[in-house]
Amino acid sequence: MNVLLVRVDDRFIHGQILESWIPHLKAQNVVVANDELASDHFQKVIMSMAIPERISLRIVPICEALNLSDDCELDDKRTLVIVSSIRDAHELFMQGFIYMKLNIGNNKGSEGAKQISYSVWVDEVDLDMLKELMDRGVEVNLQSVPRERNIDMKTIIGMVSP
Amino acid sequence: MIVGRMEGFRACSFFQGSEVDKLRKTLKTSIKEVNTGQGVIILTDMFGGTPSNISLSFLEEGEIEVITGVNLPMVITALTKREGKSLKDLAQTLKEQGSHNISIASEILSTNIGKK
Repeated sequence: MNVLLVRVDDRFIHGQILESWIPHLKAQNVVVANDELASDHFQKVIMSMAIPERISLRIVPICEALNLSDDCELDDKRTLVIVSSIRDAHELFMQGFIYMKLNIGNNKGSEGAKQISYSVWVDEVDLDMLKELMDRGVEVNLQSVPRERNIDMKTIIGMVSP
Repeated sequence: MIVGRMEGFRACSFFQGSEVDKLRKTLKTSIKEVNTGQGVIILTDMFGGTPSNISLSFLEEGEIEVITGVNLPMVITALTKREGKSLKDLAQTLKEQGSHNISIASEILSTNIGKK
């Protein structure tokens, strides 16, 4: 599995992913790592119906994402990974699921979180986690769709941190 | 604008940055408000999009139907041709009307001009 990008998106598989990110990344595989969705059979079926047939889809609980590297069907497929929150993206990385690029697209954040773009909210825990990921060499950006302006988290983290 | 004020109809907007849970709640309330016991049809833009994903979770056979890939003629038909139709029949009519109403102007023009 060739992980091109991890994206924080609490809408999981939807228009922006289907029409923008999959074609842009030329993704061959999409992984959604989310405990709630992985146990919601109905939503899983709906989301898998929307994905073009040539693209494989795996919807797994966070703790099982790491096992996908042994999935020989995924081999070196170009992969987009979707999680619902910065916390989950951080957990994935700390578990040993290593990635180089993190994109924050849509997240509603916790109560009292601060809005840093029209679709992204972060609290202090999120910011600390992002700093940690950035310290470990992960490139973090804010961007809804590839055609939109890409904001490097490095350039704004000083302004948004308390 | 085209058919005037309508009863038994709600427009639920979903914007970039809107919360998914909020849309779910809005839909739930709206379904309750418009349902007179004869069922509800939810019209959404594209299959696979968030509005469609959320709407599909309300699907209930004979009670709540979801139609995706909707255009304005379909919305108008839904409002003006629903009287006396079952949920299933109306849904079928809308699907047919939807694709029937798509046209390439130069094609219709050449056909019509050719007739004269």
